[in-house]
Amino acid sequence: MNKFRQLYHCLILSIFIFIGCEQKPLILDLGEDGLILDVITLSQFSTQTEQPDTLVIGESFKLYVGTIDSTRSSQILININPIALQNSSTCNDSTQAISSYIELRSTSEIYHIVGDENENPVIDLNKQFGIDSTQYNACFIPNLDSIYNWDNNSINISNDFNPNLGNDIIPLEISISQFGLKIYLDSILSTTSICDFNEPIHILLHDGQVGRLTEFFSTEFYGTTLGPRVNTDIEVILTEEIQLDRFSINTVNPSFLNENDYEIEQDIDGNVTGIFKSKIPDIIIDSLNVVAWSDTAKEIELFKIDLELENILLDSLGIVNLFFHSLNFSNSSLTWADDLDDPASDNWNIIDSTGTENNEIWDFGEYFEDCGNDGVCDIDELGYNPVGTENNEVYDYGEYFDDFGTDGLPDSLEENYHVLDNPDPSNDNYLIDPNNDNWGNTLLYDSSIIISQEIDSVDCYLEYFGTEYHTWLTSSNANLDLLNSWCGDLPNNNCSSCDTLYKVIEFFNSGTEGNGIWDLGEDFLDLGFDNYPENIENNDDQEGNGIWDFDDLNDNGIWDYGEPHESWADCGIDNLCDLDEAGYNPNGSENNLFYDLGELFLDCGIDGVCEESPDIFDDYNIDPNGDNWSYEDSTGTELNSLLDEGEFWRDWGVDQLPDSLENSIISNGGSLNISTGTNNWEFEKYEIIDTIFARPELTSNDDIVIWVSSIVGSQNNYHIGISIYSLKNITQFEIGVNHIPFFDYEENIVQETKINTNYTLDPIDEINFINDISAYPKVIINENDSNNFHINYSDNFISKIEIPNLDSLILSNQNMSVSQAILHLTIDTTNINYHINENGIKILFSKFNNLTSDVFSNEKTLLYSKVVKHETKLDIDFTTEMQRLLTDESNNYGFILEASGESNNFSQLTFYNESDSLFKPTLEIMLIK
Amino acid sequence: MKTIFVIFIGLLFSQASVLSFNGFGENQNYQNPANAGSGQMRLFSTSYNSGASTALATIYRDSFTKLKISSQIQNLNSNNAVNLITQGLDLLSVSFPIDNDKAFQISLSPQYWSQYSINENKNIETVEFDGENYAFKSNYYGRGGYSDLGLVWSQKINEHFSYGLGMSSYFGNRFQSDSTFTYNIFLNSDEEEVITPKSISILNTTNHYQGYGLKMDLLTYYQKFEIGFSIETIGPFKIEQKKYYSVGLSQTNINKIKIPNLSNRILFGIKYNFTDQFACMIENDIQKWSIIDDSYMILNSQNYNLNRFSLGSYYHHINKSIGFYQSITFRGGLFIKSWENQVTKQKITDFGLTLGTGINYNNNSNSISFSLVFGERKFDIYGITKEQYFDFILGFEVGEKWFIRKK
Repeated sequence: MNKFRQLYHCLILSIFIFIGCEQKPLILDLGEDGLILDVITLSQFSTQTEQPDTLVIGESFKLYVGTIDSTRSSQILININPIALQNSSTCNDSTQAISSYIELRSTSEIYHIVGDENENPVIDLNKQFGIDSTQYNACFIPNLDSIYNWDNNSINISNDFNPNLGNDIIPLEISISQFGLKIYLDSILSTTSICDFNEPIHILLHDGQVGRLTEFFSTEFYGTTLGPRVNTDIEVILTEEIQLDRFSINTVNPSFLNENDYEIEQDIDGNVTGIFKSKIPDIIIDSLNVVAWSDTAKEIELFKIDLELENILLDSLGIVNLFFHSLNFSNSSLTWADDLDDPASDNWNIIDSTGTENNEIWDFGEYFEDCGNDGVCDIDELGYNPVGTENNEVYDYGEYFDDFGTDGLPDSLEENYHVLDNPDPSNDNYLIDPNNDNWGNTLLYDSSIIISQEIDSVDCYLEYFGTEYHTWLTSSNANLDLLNSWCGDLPNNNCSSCDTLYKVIEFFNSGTEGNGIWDLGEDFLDLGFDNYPENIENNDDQEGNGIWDFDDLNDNGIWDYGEPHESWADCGIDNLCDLDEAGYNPNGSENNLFYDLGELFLDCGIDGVCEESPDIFDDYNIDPNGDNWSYEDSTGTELNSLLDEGEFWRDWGVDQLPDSLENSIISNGGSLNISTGTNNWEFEKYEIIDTIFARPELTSNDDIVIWVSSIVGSQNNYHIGISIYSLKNITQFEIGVNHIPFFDYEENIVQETKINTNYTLDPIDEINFINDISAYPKVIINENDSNNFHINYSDNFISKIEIPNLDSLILSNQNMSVSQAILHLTIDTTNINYHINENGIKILFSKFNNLTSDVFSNEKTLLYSKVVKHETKLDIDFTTEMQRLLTDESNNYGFILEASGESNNFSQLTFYNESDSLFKPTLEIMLIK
Repeated sequence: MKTIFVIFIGLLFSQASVLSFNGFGENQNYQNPANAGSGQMRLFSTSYNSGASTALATIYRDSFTKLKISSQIQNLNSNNAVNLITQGLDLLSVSFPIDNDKAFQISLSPQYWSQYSINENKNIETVEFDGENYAFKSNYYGRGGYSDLGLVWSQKINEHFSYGLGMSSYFGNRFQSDSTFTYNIFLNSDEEEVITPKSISILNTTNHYQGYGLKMDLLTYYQKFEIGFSIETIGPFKIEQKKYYSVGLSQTNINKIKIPNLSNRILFGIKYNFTDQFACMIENDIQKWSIIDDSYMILNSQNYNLNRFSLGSYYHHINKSIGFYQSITFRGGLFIKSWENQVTKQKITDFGLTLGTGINYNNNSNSISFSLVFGERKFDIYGITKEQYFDFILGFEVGEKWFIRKK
C-alpha cells in the first residue's frame, strides 16, 4: 500500500512537471513607446595636415627610380646583408657560390618586346638588351646609408642634395627584361663569393633617362615572387646510387635446343640482357614444337650460359644470386581442319545422316528470316517508322507534359494542401533557391545587360489652337489598346503625330549567393588572410577587426580571384546556403521543367499535334502489316522465333554457315603454368664449383618447371645450365635470367640557382637580408590658408581629424544602439595637388589609442581602408567605432587619415576641410533610442 | 527523497505567464491554489484543518510535514485578437510542524516573471540619412524575472493570537533582445514605393536580480471573528545589467543599481466564521513600488502600484463516516484590482469571479484543490483596451510522516 501511495504521488508530481513546459510568446503592438530612429549630424570638425621632418617611406610596397616631377628624381637604395645567407642552403660545405645577382620586378612593362617571339631565336627575357640597359645604372657604394641619411625605414635628403659618393664606387652590370631588372654582383664578388662576403652590400640604382619613373615591387610586398630577391648560381655535389652488374654473359650454348629455335636479346651496346625467347616459325600453321610430346615428362637442359665475373673491388659480399624473370611458356598452335570441303563436319550424307547441312529439311537452329507468313519483314513493310514520336508511349522532348511531379498531382490537389500553411503537401516541388538570393536567379533580374526592347509608350502629340498637348499611351494605363485608333491614321482628332518610345529591358544577376564576391552582411571568418586564429601576441592586423579583409594586390579596389582574403561562405546576405534554406529540394519533380516518369504527357509527337491527317510521318509504327508475334497476340508469325510457312530459310546447318565460310583452321593450346621453386640459385665468386641442382617439385597446377640445373666453373668463368621439365609440348617460350647487382654510390657536381628573399631567410640581429628604400627629397606643403587637408604616402602627408562635439554626443547617448554612422569627406579634385594614379590610392582611417600630441605615433588602430580612384566623396563607415564609443569600449582621442604605402606612393588626395561651407566634413549618425 | 528530487527537477520547467510587460513582469498570483477560489485571499486559510502557505500566521495549523505545489493554466483573450494559453508552476513549499502550535516552512515561488515577443506594426515613419529615406521596424523579446526562496516561522501565541514571520531571498535573471530593422524607401520609375532591407541592429540585455525581503502576518481571533494584518517590505534589492550589441560585437560594462527599498505592502482582512464549516472574508491589499531607473525595467516602464479588494467565502462538507476522503470544501469569491503606473498614471482595472473546490483525503494528510478564476481587465495600452482571462489553478498537498506531530 505504501509503495502504491508513493507511486501515486510521483504520478501526480509528474503531471505537474509535464504541464510546466514552454508556451509560445505573447505578441503585441507597442505603438509609440517602441524604439525610434534618430539621426544626428556633427559638422564641426578640426582637421590639420601634418608632415614629419624625416620621410618614413621604408614600408612602402613599391620602389621608385626616375623622374618624379620637374625638380625631383628618385633613386633606389638597396642593402644586402650577406651574413643572413651564411647558414642557408646556398652557403654550406657542399656548395660553391659562383655568381650572384639582384632581381627587381617592375609593376608595369619596362621593356617592350618587338617582333614575333618565334622568329627571334635569341629572345629571352633574361638576356641583356644593350640599348635599354644603358638607361639604368647601378653601382656599389660602401657607405651609401650614411651618405643618404638612410636609417631603417626613414630617409632624409634635401632638395639640393648633391652627395659625394666617394672613390670606392664599383659600377655593376645590369640587364633588363620585359618586367624586371637584374643587377649583377660579379664586380664586387670577383675575389670572394657572396658566402664569404661579411660586409653589407650597398647598391644605388638610378635612371639616366629623363622623364621616366619606374615602379618596382619592394621587399614589403607580399610573397617571394614579386619582391626583390638575390639569385645565386651555385655548384653543388650530389650523391647518386648506381647499379653494377656482378657478371656479364659471354656466350649461350644450346643443349637441347637448336640455335635456330631461339634468339638471345641484346641491348644497344651489344650486351646480352639475359632474355631468351623462341623464334617465330616461318610456317605458322602446323609448325613444329620446340619441345615435342615425345620429350615431355623429361628433364631437358635447354642451354648453357657462360658468365664472366666483373671485378668490383668494393663488393665484399662475393655472392652471386641467380633468378628467373619474365617467364612465358605456351603450347598454342594452329592446324588445318581434317576435311577442307566441310571444315565444320556438319554436312549430311548417306554415311553420316546426323549432319544438318544440306539435309533438305529445316533443323532447329538453322538460319531463317522470321518475317511472318507474308515473307516481308517490318523494316520493308509500308509505313514502318520506329523513330516516330507520336503514340510511341514514351515522352519525347517537345511533347506537352504536366509538370506536376511523379505523383501526377498539382499542389492544389495534393492531400492537405493549404495555400499558406501547406503549399506543397507532397514535398515534390523543385526548388533550388528557396530564398531567391542566388546569383543567376532569373527572378532577381534587374538591369544591366540588354536583353530586348519593347514599347514603353506612345507619345500622341496634338496641337490645338497653338497649344501643344501630349497624351501618353502606356501599357500601365492600358491605353495602348487605343494605339491603332489614335495613331493608325494620322492626323486625326486625337493626334497630330505619334512617337513610339521604347524601353530597354535589361537584366543582370543580382543574387548575393554564389556570386563569388563577399557581400555586405555575409558571414566571414575574421581571422586574417591565414584564416587561422592566432594568439593575441601574434595577432594578424586583419584578424578580429570586424571587417572582411582582402589583399588588393592589383590596387583596383575590389577583390579579384586569387587575391589573399578572409574566408567567407558565399551563401548570400541571408547567410543560408541553398542546402539550409527552408524548402530546398533539388530532387523535386514538380515544376522542374523536366518530364519525370509518372507525369501525364500528350503522346502527340514532338510537333505537339495529335492525330494529324494525313500523318506527317511522326506516328510510331513498328509493325505496319500487323503480323508481329507478341504476348498480346500470339498468332503473329513475325518474330515468333519459329519457322512459319512462307518464311525463307537456309539449309546451312545449325552453324548457319555454308561450307565455303566455315573456318578451316583450328586453334589449340595456350599459356602454360610455370613453377620455379624458390627461384634463387647462388654461388660464391671465384670459388671452384661443379654442382648439379635438383629439379624443384611440380605442383598439381603447374605444367612446367624451370630451374638452374648446374653451375660449373672457377675464378672468373662459370657455366650455368638452364633446364625444364614439362608435362606438355611447348611451341613458344621466353626466359629471363638475372641476378642481384652491386649497389654503389657516386658524386656528381651539378649547377643550380638558389633564390633568396626576406621570406626565405631570417633577419640577423634584426637586420633583414634585403633592405630597400626610394630616395628623393620631400615636398613641403603650405596649409595655412587652405580650404583643404591632404594625404599622400610619398611625402608623408597625414591629416589629423578631430570632432569637438563628439564627446558630448557620447555622453548624452551612452549605451544607445547605433544603426549606422558615416563620416562624409568630400574630395577636392580641383586642387592643384590632387593626383590619383590610375590604380588609385589606398586610404587608411585610424583612431588614436591614447591622448597624444604626436600625430605620427604608432599608437593607433585602423578602422577603415579603401582604394580611392575617381570618387569625389569618401564615405567612411563609422558604425562600429561609434557603437564602441557609446559603450565605453573605445575613447575619442581623435582620428587620423593617411595614405597606405601599398598603392602608388605619389598619388595625393585633397579633401575639403571645415572652412568650406558646402563640402565640409560631416559625421552622420543614426541612433536607435 | 524521490519525491523531493522529482520536485526539484520540476522547477527547471517552471515559467510565468506573460500578460504584463512593465516593471519586472507579471506577478504570479496563485501561490495558494485553495485561496485562489475564495477571491484570492492572502491572509486567511480556507482549507479544512490546515494552514495556507501564503497566510503565514496559519501555517502552524499543519499537522503533517507538508509538501505543497501549485500550478496554473491561463487562457487569455484580448481585443486585438490575441489568444494565449500560458501555464506555469507557482509554488513549491515544504512545511514542518514543530509541536502543536509552531511550524516552519521553506518555499520556492516565482514572483515576477514575463515572457513577451512584440513585433511593431506602426505606420511607416521615415528619417533621412546619407541622402536617403529610411524606415524602421523593431521587434522586442524578453523572458525571465525573479523568484522567492522564503523561510517562514509560524506560531500560535494563545487562543486569540497567532503570527507568522517570513524572510525572503529574491534571485533571478531576465534576458531581453530588441532588434531594429531599417529599410531604404525610394520611388522607382513608376513612382511606386520600393522598400529595401538595409540593416539590422540587435541589442541583447541581461539583468541579474538579487535581493531580500521581510514580511509579518498577525491574526487575532475574537469569538467568530478573525482579523488579519500583514506588512511586507522588499529591500535591499540589486540589479546588474549588461548589454550586448550586434554592431561591432560591442558590449557595455556591468551596470549596477542597489535599491534600498524596492516595495512595501500592507494587507488587512476580516473573516467571520458563521460555523466551523462556513465562513466569509474581506481583504484589502495595497502595494507601492519605488521608482527605478527606466533602463532596468521592461520596455522602460515602471512597476504598477496595486490596490486589491477581495470578498470570499467557503464551506467545508465533513465526511463523518470512515472513507477515502474526510472533507470537501467549496469556495467562491470576487475581487477587484486596481493598478496604477506611478509615472504615466496609466490605470488597469481587473474584476474577477472565483470558484474553487478541494478535497482532503488519506486522514486529512493529503489534499487536492482546484480553483477557477474568470476575470476581465480594462485599460488602454498600445491599442489594447480589454483582456478576458480564465485561470485554472491546481494545487496539491502531500502530508508525510517524517516529522509528524506527537499527539
